[in-house]
Amino acid sequence: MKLLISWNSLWTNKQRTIFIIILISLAFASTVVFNGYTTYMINGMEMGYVEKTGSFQIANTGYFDNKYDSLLGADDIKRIRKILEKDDRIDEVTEILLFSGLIGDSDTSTPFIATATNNPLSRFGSSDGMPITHDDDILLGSKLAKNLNIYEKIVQQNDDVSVNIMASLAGSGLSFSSFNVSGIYDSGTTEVDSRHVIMKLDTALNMLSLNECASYIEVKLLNNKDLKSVIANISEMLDGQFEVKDWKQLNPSYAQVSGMFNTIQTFFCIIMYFFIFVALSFSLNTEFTERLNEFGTLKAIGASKETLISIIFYEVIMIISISLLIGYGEAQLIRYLSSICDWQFIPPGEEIGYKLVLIFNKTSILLSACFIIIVCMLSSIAPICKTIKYSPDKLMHS
Amino acid sequence: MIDISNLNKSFYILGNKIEVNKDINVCFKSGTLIWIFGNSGAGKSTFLNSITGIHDIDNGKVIMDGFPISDVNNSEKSIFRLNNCGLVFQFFELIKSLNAYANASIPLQLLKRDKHDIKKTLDYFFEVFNIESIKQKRPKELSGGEKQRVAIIRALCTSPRFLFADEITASLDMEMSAFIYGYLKEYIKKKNGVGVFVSHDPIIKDYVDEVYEMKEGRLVRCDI
Repeated sequence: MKLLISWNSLWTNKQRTIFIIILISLAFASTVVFNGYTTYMINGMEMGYVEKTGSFQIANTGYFDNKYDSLLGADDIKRIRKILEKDDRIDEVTEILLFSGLIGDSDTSTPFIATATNNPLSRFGSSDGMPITHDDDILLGSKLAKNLNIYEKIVQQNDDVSVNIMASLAGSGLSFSSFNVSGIYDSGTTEVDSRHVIMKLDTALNMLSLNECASYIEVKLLNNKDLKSVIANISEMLDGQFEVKDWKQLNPSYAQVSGMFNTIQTFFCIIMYFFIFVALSFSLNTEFTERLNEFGTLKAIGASKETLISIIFYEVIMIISISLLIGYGEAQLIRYLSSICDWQFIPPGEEIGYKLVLIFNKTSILLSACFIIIVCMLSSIAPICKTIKYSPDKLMHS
Repeated sequence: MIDISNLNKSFYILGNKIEVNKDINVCFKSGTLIWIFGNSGAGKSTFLNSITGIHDIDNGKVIMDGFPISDVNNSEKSIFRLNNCGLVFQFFELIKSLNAYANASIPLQLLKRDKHDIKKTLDYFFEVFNIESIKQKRPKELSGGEKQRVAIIRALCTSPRFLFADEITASLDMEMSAFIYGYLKEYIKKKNGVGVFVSHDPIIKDYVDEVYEMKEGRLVRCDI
C-alpha cells in the first residue's frame, strides 16, 4: 500500500514531478560531465608530464638538486638496467644526458640546453624538417631556430644547415663541434623551445669526450597505476645508492594545477548542490504540503508515524532513482556528442589544442549520486517533521 | 461502552481562547446508536475528534470499553483507533491518488491482513452498498454519494466496535440513507458496540436509541 500511495502520488501532479525530475537529472548530469572534464584534464596533464619526464627517473644521489654534476657511469648504468629488466611492468628505459652551452653560427649565438638520448627518433621525431637519422644530426627547438635565423632554411630543406656548439660537462674541458640541423622540434611550450637542442647520446658523448655515462635514467611503465609499488621495489634493490624521483616530484606544478582543478570542481559542486537543495526543498515541500491532509487522514485512521515516513521516503527514493537514470543518460549523450564533434581546448600558455574528452569514472559518478541523494533526503525533512509533529486534525485541515 | 467525564476542549485563535466543548459528562452504553445534532459551529465535529483521540483534550477523561484513550500517547491512540474504531469524516477524506477499492482497503492494509481476506471483505461491502462498478475509479471520478459509500466501507471493513460518523448521509438520497442507517443499526446491535453519528438528517431519528443536542459546547440529552 505504501509503495502504491507513493508511486500514484508522484503522478498526481505530473507537471511538478516532471519538473523535479528534470531539475535533479540535469544537476546530476552536469556534475558528472564537469567531473569527467576535470578527470580528463588531470589525466591529460599526467600523461603529458609522464611523456616529458617518464614515470620516474634514477640518478646519483644529489643529482636532482645540482642538476649537471654527478653523472651515472657505465657500471652504474649496467647495474641499474639489470635491476630494471627484472620488473615486467616496465615498458621503456632510456639514458638521458643533459648539458648546456652556446649554440650559433658566424652571425649569432645563444645559450642552449641539450637533451641527448639513445633513441631520439622514437622519443622526439620532428615537427618540421627531418628527424635525426645520422650521427651528426641535431634537432632545434622552433623558437631557438627562429632566434638563430635558420628556421626557414630548415623547413624548406633546400640547403644543409649547420650550427656550432660549445659545451662542457662534469669538469671536462670545453668541447666544440659542428652539427647538421636536420629538423625542428616543437614541444608546445615557448620557453622550452627557445633553448632546446636534441641529439643522439653517442654524439654528445663523443663531442664532450666522455665515456659511457648519463645524467639520469628515465623509466616509463606500462601502467602508471603501478608506480608506487615499482618504485618501492626498485628502491629496495638499489639499496639507497641512487636517488629515485617519480613524475610528480619532478613536476611540482602538477600538484598545484590539479589542486586548482579539484578546488574549482568542489566549488562548482557546492554551488550547484546549494541551488538544487533550495529548488528541491521548495518543490518537495510544496508537493507534500498539498497532501498533508491525506497524511492527516491516514494518521486518523490509525497509520503509524513509521508508515507515513515510509510513504514520503519511498516517494523521494522513486524520484531520485528515475532522475539519476535519466541524468546518467544525459551525461552519456554529452560524452558521445563530445567524441563525435571536434571540441578543442587550448590551455593557457600553450599553442597546441587538445580534443575535449570526458572521462567518467565509477568513483566520481557514485560520489555525485550520493550528493544528490543526500540533498533530496534533506529536502524531505520538513514535511516529515510536520507529519510527525502535528495532530491528525491539524494535518487534515492544513 | 464510552464513558466521558469532564471533557473540555478549547482552541486559541489570534490569541483568544475559544471554548468549544465544555464540561461534557456522558456515558454511551454498548449496543446503542447515538445521534448528535446542533447548529453549525456548536462543537459537534470537535466532540467526535476529542473522544476518538484525533486531537488532545484540555482535561477530562474518555474511556472506551476500559481503554483510557484520553490518557495514552499518540501512537497508542492510533493503534486503538485502527483496531477498534471506524471513522467517517465529514468530507470523506479519500486519498486522491488511490482508486475506490484501494481507499476502502487502507485500514485492512495497515493491519497487514491477508490479500484474500481483504478481497473477500471488500467485495462483500461493495456489493451490499451497490457500488461494485466503481472499484477502479479515482475519487475525482466519483459522485458525492459514491464517495460517501466508499468512506463508509473504509470505516466498516475492520469490523470495529465503535463507529463515529460525521454527516454520514449528507450526499445520499432518502432511500440509500434509510438503508445505511438500517444496516448500521443492525451492525451495532450485533457487535454490541457504540455508534455516534453527527447528522442533520431527520431520517436518523427512527434508527437511534439516544439523541443529544450540542448547545454552546455542552451536550444536552433530548427525547427522541
